[in-house]
Parts: sequence; C-alpha cells; structure tokens
Amino acid sequence: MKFSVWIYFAYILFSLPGYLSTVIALEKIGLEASAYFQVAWLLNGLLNILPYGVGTSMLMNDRGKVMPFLRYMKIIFIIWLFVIPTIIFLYLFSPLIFQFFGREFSLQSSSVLFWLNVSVIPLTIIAITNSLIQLKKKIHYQVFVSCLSAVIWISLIDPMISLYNLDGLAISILVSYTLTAILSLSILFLQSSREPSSLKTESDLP
Amino acid sequence: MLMKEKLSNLGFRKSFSKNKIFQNSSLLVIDSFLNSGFGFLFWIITTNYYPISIVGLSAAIFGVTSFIAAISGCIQLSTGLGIFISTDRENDYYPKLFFSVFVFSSIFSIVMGIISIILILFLSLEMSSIFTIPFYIFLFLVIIFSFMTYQICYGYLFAMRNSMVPHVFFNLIGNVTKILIIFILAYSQSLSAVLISFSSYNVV
Repeated sequence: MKFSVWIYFAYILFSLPGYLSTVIALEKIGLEASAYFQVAWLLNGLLNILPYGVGTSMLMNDRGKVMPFLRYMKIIFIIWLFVIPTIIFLYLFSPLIFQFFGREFSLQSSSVLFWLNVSVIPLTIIAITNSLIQLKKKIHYQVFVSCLSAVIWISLIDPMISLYNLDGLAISILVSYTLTAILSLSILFLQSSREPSSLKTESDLP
Repeated sequence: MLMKEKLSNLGFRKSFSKNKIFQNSSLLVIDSFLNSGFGFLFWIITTNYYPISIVGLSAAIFGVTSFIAAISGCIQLSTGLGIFISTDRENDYYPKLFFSVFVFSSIFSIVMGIISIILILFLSLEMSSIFTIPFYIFLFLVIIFSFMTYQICYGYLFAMRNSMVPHVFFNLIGNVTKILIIFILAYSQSLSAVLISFSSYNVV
C-alpha cells in the first residue's frame, strides 16, 4: 500500500505539466494561449502513449527477471525508431491536421506541438527507467527524480515564457525532461554497475 | 470468408470467448481508441463552434479539475475496493461497502473542490472571476465529484463482473452524451455548455 501510494505520488509530480500547463498558459499569456496549448497537448498525447505503453508492458513481463542494462538501452533505441519518424511526420503535416481545429490553431499550435513532440525523446528514457526502477523496488529514486523534474519545470516556466512566449512553455517541458532523463540514466547506470549481472548482455545470460 | 477461416485457425474467436485476460485486454484497447477518438471529436467541435476564449478557459478548468481528482485519487479507494471484492465475490455486504465508499468519496471530492476554489480565489488567478457565479461553482464541484466517483463505480462493476464490457459500454454512452451535449448547446456559445458537457461523460 505504502509502495503504491509513493508510485502514485511520483506519477502526479511527473504529470504536473499535463495538468497545469493550460492554467499557466492562461495566467501568463492569455485565454487563447491556453486553447492553443490544449490542442497541441491533445495531439502530443498520441505519441506519449508509446513509451508509457512499453514501460507498462515491461513491468508486467519482466517481473523477477535479470535486467541487463544493454537490453534497456536497446528498448529505448527501438522506441526512438518509431518516435523520431513520427515527430518528422507531425512536424511536416501538423499544420494540415490542425486545420480541423481552425486556422488560428494551424498557425499557433504547430510550433508548440513540435517542442512537445521532441520532449518525447527524453521522456522515453524516463518512462523506461521508471519501469526498471519500479521492478527493482527502488521507489525512492523515482520519487526523487519526479520531484526534481517538477522543480526544474516550475523554475524554468517564467524565463522561458518571457523568452519564447507560448513555445517557451513547451520548451520548459523539453528542458526539464532532458535534464531528468540524463539524471535517470546516470542513476540507472550506477545502480547497474553495482550489480554485475545487470551489465551482462542478453547473450551472456543463461 | 477466407479472412473468417484464417481468424478461426488462429484461434482468435476461441481466445476471445474463453480467455478472460485476452477479452479484457482487447476491450481495454478498444476503450482507449474510443476515448482518443471521442476526445478529438470533442475538441474539434469545441474549437469550431465556441469562441476561442471559452475554449481556453474550459481547457484550464479541465486541467485544474483533473489535477484535483488526481491528488484526491491518492487515497486509492477504487483500487482498494476492486482488489478487496475480486478476492471473494460471494459476500452480500458488498453493495453496502460500495455505498459507504461512494458516500465517503463524494464528501471527500466536494471538500477538495471547495478547498481548491478557496485557493484559486486566494491566489486571485485569472480564472477566479468565474467563481463569483454560483452556477459555475456548482458545475465545478459536479465535475470534481463525477471525476472521483465514476472511478469507484467502474472499480466496483469490474470487480463484481470480472469483465470490461460494462466499462466499455458506459464509456461509449458517456462519450456519445458528451458529444451530443456540446453539439446541441453550441448555439449558446457559453462556458457552462462546455462544463456541462465535461461533467456529463462522468455522470453517465
């Protein structure tokens, strides 16, 4: 129960941009900005499903197994193989897709969507690492990483919005995810280096 | 005909009818597609038929209510109820248990809603102006209440029947109601129309 509540707490902290970005856009920029961001976030949600889906399925399948570090790097690269072409596709065709929502959305939401889509690249690392951390039952690392991600994001909002307006809100998410991903990967690597079996390749395993 | 034969050779139909895990996970996938599709349709209608300022304000309110529901979800009553009931489905006191959890959850959600309104007014956020109108306060509380209680209802239904069918069925009806309301009330071009539509999905 305690374990589950902490995972939930970490999840809420990490999902803060999803819940509060529209409120921040409304407060800092204006009513229209909130609408543009909401529509971009909606389309970005389709790309977010992939890393989270793979992470959840890892949690189900890999319970109790030895986790080679290289295997997880391979999973991250495979997800990127799907994510990066989708980002390019959406970058090219998002103005057309946003036409369904109206002409203003096509002009305003496209660049926001691009930065949000790019943030899925570090998000992949975070989602997969979080699943691995949960498998190892080192939940305090996940809470720490989520807290740090939220703090970085909140502290970046003001300077980024003043520099890049609505795009700044999406860029602040990208920067916070990137820094968190680097930290998550470092923690995971340090953890794995302490467990010699984790650094083995799949072919080394019995 | 050929396709039918191939499917039957693969054992798809047999797996679907016999294997509960396969059936429920397939329904979960269908449910996700339904939610995404209707979500898109909802925002397409909203952005095309309502003023952009209303869309922006309703998006922010939706964000706040989801956040409050997520925080309130920390008590994890729906998960607890589901796990508790699924271990032994024979006891006849479960309807009473469900009712108690439902009442507790309703009171908790309304308290959380009132606290959040006070916080928004105290911080004098841009959206605090809407909380001077009692009808918007009522709708805001209904959204938070419905966000919390629908999870309890789904958890109970799933645990009692061990099937995702009611979940998908009610989700479909909720989504269709949401789309119909947003479409029918489009002439009013008001924030209350969008908020009523939001809450209708969970209330159903």
